[in-house]
Amino acid sequence: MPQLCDFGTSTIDSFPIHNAIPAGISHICHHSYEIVQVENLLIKIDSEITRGNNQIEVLRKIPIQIELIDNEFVAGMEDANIFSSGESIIQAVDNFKDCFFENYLYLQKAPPQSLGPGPVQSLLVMRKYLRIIENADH
Amino acid sequence: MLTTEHAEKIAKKLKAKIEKSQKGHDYARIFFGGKLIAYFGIRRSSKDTGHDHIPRMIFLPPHKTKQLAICTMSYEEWIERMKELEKI
Repeated sequence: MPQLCDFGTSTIDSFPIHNAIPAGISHICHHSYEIVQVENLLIKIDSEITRGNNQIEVLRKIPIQIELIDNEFVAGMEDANIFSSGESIIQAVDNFKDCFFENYLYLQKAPPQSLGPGPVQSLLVMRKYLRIIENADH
Repeated sequence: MLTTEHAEKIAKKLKAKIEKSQKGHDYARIFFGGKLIAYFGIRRSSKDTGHDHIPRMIFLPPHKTKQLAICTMSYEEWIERMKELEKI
């Protein structure tokens, strides 16, 4: 069962486990380019967020995996093929959120015929979690 | 570890279009035949930050990704792999 972490209002400076390993990860080995530990998390984000002129509704909690690869944390969602790195878990999750929202907006607005098979699959997955509810461009 | 420098070299090798973001990232978007086939974020930081998220976003194992950056793997080889994976 994935652990639920509420990163919705956290900041890198204020979050208590900055640069720390969360409970449940008991053994860490550092080997270049080997995934040494995987932790499943669900990130709960504010139900609505704004990016530029876009208001995005977060439809459900977003499941991510945290991995430690060569002394860097990588947060990602395999199904959407979105991954981001960070020096701490919080940085990796924050970067993942940015990447997830930015790429969702890009893919959602792109003409469908301009997307290859990978991005189409990513967008289909992202649509389960996000929806544009207001766009000042229109 | 894949660094910012590696990330930038990979983006250049794969002929990516770089989109600047207001956040701490740029986005490298790779097109082939007029279609977007892959993309990844490049972290902007004062120090050399890690980019170990890139291999899976471009459908390569880590050592092959590094080969892209250091020129022992070509753009054509990567395109061939993308075709094999039916990502093109």
